[in-house]
Amino acid sequence: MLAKINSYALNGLDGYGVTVEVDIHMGLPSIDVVGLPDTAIKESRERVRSAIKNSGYDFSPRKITVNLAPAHTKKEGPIFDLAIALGMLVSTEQAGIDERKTPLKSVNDYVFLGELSLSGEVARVNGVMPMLIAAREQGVKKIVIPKANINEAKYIRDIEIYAVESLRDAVALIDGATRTPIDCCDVVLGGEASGGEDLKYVKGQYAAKRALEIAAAGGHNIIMIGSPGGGKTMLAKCLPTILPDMTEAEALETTKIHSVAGILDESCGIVTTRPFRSPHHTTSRVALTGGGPSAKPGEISYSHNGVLFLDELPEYPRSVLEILRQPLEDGVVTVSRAARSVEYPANFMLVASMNPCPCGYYGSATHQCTCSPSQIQKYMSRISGPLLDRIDLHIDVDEVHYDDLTKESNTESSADVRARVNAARAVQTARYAGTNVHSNAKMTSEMIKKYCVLDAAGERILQAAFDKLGMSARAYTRILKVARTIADLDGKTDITSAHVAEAVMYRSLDKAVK
Amino acid sequence: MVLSDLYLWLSYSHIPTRKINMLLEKMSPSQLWDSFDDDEIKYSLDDKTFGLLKRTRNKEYIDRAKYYLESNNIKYVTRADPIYPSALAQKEVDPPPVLYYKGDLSILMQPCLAVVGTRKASQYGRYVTSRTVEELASAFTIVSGLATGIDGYAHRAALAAGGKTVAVLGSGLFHASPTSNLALFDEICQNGLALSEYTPDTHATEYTFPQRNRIISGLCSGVLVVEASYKSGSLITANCALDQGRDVFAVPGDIDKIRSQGTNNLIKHGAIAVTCADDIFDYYSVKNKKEQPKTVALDFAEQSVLDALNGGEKSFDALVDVCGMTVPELNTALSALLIYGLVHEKSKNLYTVS
Repeated sequence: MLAKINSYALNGLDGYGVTVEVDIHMGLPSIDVVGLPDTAIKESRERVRSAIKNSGYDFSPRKITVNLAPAHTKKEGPIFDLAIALGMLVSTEQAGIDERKTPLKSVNDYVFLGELSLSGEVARVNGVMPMLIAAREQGVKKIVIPKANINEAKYIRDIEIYAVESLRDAVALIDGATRTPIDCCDVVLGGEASGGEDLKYVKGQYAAKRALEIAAAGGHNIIMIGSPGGGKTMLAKCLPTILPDMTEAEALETTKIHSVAGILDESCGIVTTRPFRSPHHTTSRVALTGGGPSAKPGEISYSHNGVLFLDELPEYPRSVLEILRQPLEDGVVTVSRAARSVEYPANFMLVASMNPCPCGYYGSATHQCTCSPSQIQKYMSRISGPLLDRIDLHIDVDEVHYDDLTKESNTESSADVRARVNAARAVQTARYAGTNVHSNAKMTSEMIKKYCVLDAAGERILQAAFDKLGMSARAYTRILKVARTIADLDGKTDITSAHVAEAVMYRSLDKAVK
Repeated sequence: MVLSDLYLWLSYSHIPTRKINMLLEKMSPSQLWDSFDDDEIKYSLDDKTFGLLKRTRNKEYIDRAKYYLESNNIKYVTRADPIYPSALAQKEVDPPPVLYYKGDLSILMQPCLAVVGTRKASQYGRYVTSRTVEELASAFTIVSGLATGIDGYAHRAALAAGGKTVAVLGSGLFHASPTSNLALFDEICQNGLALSEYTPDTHATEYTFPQRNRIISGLCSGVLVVEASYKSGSLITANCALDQGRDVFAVPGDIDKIRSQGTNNLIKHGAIAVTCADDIFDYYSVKNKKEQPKTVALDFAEQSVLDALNGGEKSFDALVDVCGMTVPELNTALSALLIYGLVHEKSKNLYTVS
């Protein structure tokens, strides 16, 4: 008998329905899976066989053909285990049939997702959240997921979601046992960031802390330059604790990517705080942008709506850094491979740190730099102009002196800073409502013209800054954007000369070019 | 053969200048040319020198060289010419027979001052060079060696101040180095003077740079060494200056810093310590034409930052503590002061009054 069970698969972040067809016919006993399965699916034959047997059903040797339709797209992962097992049970008339042994129509109301263990338990799978969203959009009414995925599924409304623990559970469901769908709940945002240092433990470094606040408020890319031991990495680690709350839309977008990648926190089920990713500098290009045969997302997509922290920027291979240029500009990355082409969102804030020279002590007050001018130039030139061009804030992070370490000063905690950042971000959200821009950093030229109007005093000081400090033209729009954020933090609608003057302070690399 | 062509012959023979001048002490260039085939001359020269002179002793060859120079827009001045810099025509300088140049030779008529220093300049050295040269350039032609570091900063500051500057190369004019200063070289050719004692096609070697240092000091009435370590090439320039009877000025520095050891040592041995441009103006009794900075109306915050800095250089963090301002307030005030030019960043994150 032929059985058809619905399941779902992903292409990037978009889902599409897959029909698992199981047919039993005469011939030498074997199980064949067709429909471009990958190794994990081919192995599911063994898992399904054991799961069926260990759940107490009959598994006599037969010739079984399993087809995953549509047959032209590549399928991957163990997600079809449950559907294949159910298909076998239905086709051997052990499940999904009424008293007269005719198949129940209700079987096809459900979409089944899940991996099986040999004992017949249904195990967690990746990518449930985007599949649920896609299924809902395509009109699916009922979907069955592993119980372990319940945490990420519970935020999806307007679709009946059933969680099953074992193969027997699933069989009971299609046999008509009454089950209630899982309860939905609201996304609770703004939880305390897990991990990350509190800003109050950073001694001194007032200027750097202020720059981080501005960067967090406006979503600006920032680079920290300084000698070893200055606390660049520690400052960066404080960043998660001052990043603004996510909106619900942002949280769902980021969760989708994390779900596909399988890096979602199971206990929480949704990303409620902005991701902070810090890939090591041995990271490959593919790991950063995404790719592989199945075009998986990479680090820049993992950090969507959050922070991508690149410590020791010049240590990254040039080719790895250059690929950041286009995503930094567009906020998306298109990963194209022979089999498929997928667009992943990659709207991240770049935070980078670097030493001023190979030995690390150029310009240091306490150490002698031993590098030759050409070495320094070579080191700096590892970061290309176009990449620096996309970084709004440059700050020098100085070494910390012993006095600063021991001094008891009442510095602000991250919570205080975060309150200001949230207020500034709220102003921006209101300003850019109805556009796909969320922060000052992503303003278009048209918006800059509209929202970054300088008064006469502001114009004067900017003009003077260009003349006196030898700023490059590329600095112009960067300063305007940063000045806008400073004004937002200040709670002002208009940018004043004070805001411009402060923004000028964060262009140390431009000044160095002189 | 006219005398200038004879000097060109000597230059194109590529004999070391020292040997040429030793030769010229015994006889004039025309004597050398005319009686070259005499045994007396042949035996008074070593084989290599004789060979080099014989090979190039050819009127056609000299004419070709002249045509080549002309078609490549390279001007030259020989010791026979009245415009040959008189400062160089001194035995101690070891004057080269020909100077090849691009730009305006007449700027050498102004009083000249050499500003030299280490290639590995610190931010301090860079700042001191820029500040001092911007003032000095109003009265002096600034001579330096086009190298990275202090040399480059000196040229740039002179050009920025609208003054005149001379780059003395350690290679031929076609092979100006380093590459990072080529744009500067072009600008100097346009608005100043680039000169070399080497024929345009000569590549620099490790010997040519110390050689040209004597010309840097020779052209000038004094040499200002801004930053130099013990082994710095700029100390060679200072030594040449002493041999030639020029004045040596040095900017004192931190006694612990390698880059200040050379200059501090110069001062120890009698060089004139220079802490501002006025020290040099006063020494030469020249008037500093620098305009006094326009007075700017400062607000309360800016004034208090300035007062705090008047008590000594401070880092940003120290200023926050001393002035009792919030970070945004201090950022704004400090930025304004930097833009007005009342305060400068001495080294990374260390501010001081200008």
